[in-house]
Amino acid sequence: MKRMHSKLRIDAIFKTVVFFFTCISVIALAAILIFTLLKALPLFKEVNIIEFITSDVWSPSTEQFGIASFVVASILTTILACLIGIPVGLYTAIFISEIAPKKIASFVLFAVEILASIPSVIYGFFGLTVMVPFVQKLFNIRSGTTLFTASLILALMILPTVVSLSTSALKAVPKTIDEGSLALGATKMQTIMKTKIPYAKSGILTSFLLGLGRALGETMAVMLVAGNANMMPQLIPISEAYLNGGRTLTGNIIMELAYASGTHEAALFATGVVLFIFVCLINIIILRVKRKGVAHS
Amino acid sequence: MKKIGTILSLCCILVISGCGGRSTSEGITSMIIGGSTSIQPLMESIAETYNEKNDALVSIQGGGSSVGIKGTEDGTFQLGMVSRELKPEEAKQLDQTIIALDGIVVVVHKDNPVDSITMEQLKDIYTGKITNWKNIGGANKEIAVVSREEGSGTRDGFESIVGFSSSDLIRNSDIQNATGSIISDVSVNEHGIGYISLGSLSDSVKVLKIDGVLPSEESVKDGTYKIQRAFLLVQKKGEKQGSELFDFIFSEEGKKLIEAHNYIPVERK
Repeated sequence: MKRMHSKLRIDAIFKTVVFFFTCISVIALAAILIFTLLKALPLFKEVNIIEFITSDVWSPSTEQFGIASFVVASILTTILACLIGIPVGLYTAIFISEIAPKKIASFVLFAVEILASIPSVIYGFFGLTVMVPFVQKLFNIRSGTTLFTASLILALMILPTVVSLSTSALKAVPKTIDEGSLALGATKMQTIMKTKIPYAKSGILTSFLLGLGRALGETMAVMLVAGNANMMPQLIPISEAYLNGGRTLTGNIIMELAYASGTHEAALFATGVVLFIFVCLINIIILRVKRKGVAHS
Repeated sequence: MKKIGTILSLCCILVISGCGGRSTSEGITSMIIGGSTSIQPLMESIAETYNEKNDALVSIQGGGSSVGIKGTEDGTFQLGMVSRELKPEEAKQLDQTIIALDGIVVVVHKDNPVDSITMEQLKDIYTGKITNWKNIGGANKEIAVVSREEGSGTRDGFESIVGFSSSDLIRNSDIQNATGSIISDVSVNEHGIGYISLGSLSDSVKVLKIDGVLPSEESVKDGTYKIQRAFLLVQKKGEKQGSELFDFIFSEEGKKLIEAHNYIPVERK
């Protein structure tokens, strides 16, 4: 009786401890959110929100704050990074989970995971000293610090996310699905492309979206190679946009935060809020995809 | 909240130092200096050493040269840090003391054949009127302009000396937020041109003469090298606060600190 009682008590204590630690992570999120919003607030006494998002004139010295060009640059680099990184990542995942012999598969997976643990400043430094001169010579342009170079680096950086999550999604597909498809006379390729991938769809999509989130939020590497030009990317022709420098939302914050004060500082925090909204949108989509996946299976 | 914390801790320090019964010859033990972010790191290390030696409480704040001037005029700061020339109406209100000089050097890629450039050409390059090196005697290559970020003291100094405003900067200019990034950007790009503080110069880039003068400690001191600025401390006319701090800045030890920050020390005037 007594032992039973103390067991229950330990159980209760355990629950409290778990609850307490959960609170810490939720409070941390709330604190960051509130802090960023409060710091951004002074801006909107001076500048209208719509103007802040739609104007492409960013000139702190004359108190003009518009981040449209940074939003466009962020979207452009993210899109191209995904266009390059996602196919490469998905095919690598297929190779690892379906085709490669076990030893090679685990080696490739190991290599990709190492890629994930390289600090972003190293990617940036590699980009600046290797990719930037390469891109400049390749296109014979004025400067190799371009949105294209940034997209290449980002593509490399989102690979580990896409590969490792897609691999586990593919590996989680039950053997019976495989066997059923093969038994019906489908080839190995047909089985992978038409049966396994559709089955693992929600996991794979989630890996894409997490990769996309990483590309959008990456700062240091992008800042070093993107050129950070304070101008609206020229969208027609699209090569104009990618072969010129540009500044992303994250780049703008880290560029100028050191010396900013007053309204300028608030504008940088407001840039952070906009970025936060983007990331939230991506996460909402991820939740939806996951829920659909659960309902599907 | 942060402010309350600061005030509380300041109070504590004041109370504690009061209990120690130290001599508080008025105005010297506690002083706030604010202004130019270019001078801020230098003054922070000066204040640190000075505080230790003299049991003083000199604290340094940023904000920019204009904030330094305004703050000194309205009494927020006892001394203001200013890294540009005072306007005539400001000079009427304030006394200025030059504590150090800084040269800004223009750098290009090592293989760039151009050796010298005029102030006018420099301005035209940075405002986008000259866009090819062949127009100033170089190879037929488009110029890749590299600049510092808004709010940087070096950028502020460069723009005001060369004579253009921030909004006139060529739009496609690369922006880097550190001297090191400017150097690595220019050192790998034969098209590139950038500017950095004289003291941070490295071998991986080539320095341009400005109007025929190569930047050096001597040419900055004798004024023949044009892209230079003085670091000023200003205070309200007639006030004599901080004279011990000035003694320290112009002492051998102070000069060493200034040199350690790669600026050029000057004699007291």
